[in-house]
Amino acid sequence: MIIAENIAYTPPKTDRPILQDIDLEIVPKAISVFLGESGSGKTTLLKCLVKLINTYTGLIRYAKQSRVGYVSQHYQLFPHMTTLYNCVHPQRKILKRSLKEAEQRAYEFFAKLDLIDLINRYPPELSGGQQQRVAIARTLCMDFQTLVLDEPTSALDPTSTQQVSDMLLNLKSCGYTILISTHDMPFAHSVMDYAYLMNQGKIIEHFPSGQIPAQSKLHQFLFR
Amino acid sequence: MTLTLLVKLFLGTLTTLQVSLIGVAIGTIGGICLGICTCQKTNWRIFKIYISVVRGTPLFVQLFLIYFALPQITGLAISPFVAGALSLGINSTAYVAEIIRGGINAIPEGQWDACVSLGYTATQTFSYIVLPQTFRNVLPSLVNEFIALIKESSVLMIIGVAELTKVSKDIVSRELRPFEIYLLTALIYFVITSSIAYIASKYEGE
Repeated sequence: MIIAENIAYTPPKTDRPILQDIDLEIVPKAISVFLGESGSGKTTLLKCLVKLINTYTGLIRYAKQSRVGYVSQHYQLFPHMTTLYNCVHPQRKILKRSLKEAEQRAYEFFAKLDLIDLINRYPPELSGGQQQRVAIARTLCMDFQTLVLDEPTSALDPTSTQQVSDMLLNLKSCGYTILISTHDMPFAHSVMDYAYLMNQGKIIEHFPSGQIPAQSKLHQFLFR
Repeated sequence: MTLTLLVKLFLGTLTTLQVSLIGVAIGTIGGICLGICTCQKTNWRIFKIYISVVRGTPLFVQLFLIYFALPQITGLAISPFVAGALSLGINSTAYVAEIIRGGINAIPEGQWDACVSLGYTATQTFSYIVLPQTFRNVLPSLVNEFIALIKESSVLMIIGVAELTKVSKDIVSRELRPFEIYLLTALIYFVITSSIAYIASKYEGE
């Protein structure tokens, strides 16, 4: 579980706040989706939650031993390593796993995410959807219980988007907590358990997916 | 052309290669360190001053400072070869640092974020993720710099280093056959530099 209390963030050397008065409680083992126009603060909020931005004010609390993994919009696989090594290298260097152990773990997730055929390929040789899945596999190999995905379908075709949403639902059923920011409404509909609407750095509305009032801004945003 | 002359030219070539190799080694190690210290993530201004000073003064003057001025201050005599290699290395360090700095700055911000979110330390991020990608990107510029360094090593003749150009000049002053000797000298430089460019292009292709 992640609880954020009164989060605010103003970038250095500016006086325009990007996040203001953010209070949220992320429900574990569910998919929470953050929606909003470009510049509403979704990515910045996610970066605060994964500690890529540390200069915010307020408090973010994490459940004991909860580790949060982040997959950015552009996947950011390491282009000089094969997909397998992208997953093995961080395990070896950070978790100090043996090569055999790290490879076993990588193979396990590659099989789960249907990536076995790609183990010896380099990231630039892969499609956007394949890179997305490898990036998620890399994060899963690191034993993160919570996954944060920034615009996971922004560069994907409908088939790849479907694959990613199936995979996320599958991961949720395995007990992962997932946070997503997206502009892709059909994708949001297909995966979300909780929806948060952001505007000008604030969360203006949030509802469980089955209980969104028809007159709410969130409903209008989702069905416009 | 006698065999003795060819042997002299060969020895001169060896000296050129030796002094350049030491210069390249100093330049590479120093340049990587300074490139890391001056990139956007670190931005230590003191090293930027060093780079500006070295890039803003001629190699010729740097050579004189090391060979003539340094012993005057320290009281320690320094051989022409050591002074030459040191000058080339110090000069090259500044240029390599700028190449490496540019290469590091060109690595997308997201790669750094990926490293932080996975849990890499700053040292691991530089060693395993940033520098390998940087080298791949800046290899052509580095090769250019090293080729320029080999050619600039001819300046060392002024303090008496028996490198290829000095040997050629000495031969010409005795034999009075400038056309053949200098043409052969140019050819030797060309073979060395184009071999390096060829090897680098092969590696780059891989």
